[in-house]
Amino acid sequence: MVVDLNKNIKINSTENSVNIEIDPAVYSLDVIYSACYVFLDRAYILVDSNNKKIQVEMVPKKGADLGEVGSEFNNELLNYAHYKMMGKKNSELRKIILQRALITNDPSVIDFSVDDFELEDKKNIKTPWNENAKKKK
Amino acid sequence: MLKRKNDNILVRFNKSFYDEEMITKSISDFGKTFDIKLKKDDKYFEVTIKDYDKNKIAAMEFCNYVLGMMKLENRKV
Repeated sequence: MVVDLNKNIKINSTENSVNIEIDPAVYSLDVIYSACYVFLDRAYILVDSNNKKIQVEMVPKKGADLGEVGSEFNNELLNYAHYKMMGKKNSELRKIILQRALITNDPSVIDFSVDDFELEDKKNIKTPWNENAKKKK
Repeated sequence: MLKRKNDNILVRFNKSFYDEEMITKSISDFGKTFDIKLKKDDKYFEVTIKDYDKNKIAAMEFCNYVLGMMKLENRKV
């Protein structure tokens, strides 16, 4: 069975352009823009829409392989979609780290402690050493 | 990407993806070198640049310039 990985890519060799059709339900607009910005120095780009799909038309600047440019654009979309997803996932942690870094002079302002995070303490690191020593005796 | 109308280049920027202010700014930057005009309809900003054969590459650079301006100004992102 042959699977067409790049079925969203249409190559127009007469105009030396590649048309990439993107489903907005899969990739958001900011992901598409980010992918476009990466290609600004390698291709001329125009963003348009057709039949509820977003179309990115690219004309490579230095006679690059059209299929390759399209496939690389697909990869870049995936890269930025993942980046955005991870950014969302880590946003709370980033906020905490930044908050901690900015308010180190006045720790009383910080409204959380290390105990708020449930970390698995396999080696009993959180317990002070003297209490550990007492337990062993 | 580009359409030919008589000897002019026609570039159509979809209103859903491009910012009018950024297009106007880009036109004022490119307008010193080329003859550029802006028109609007319901769905598109239509930019007309004179002399197809001479300014074809410049018109495509213009498309990239508008996108670049939008990135700089954080529009639509």
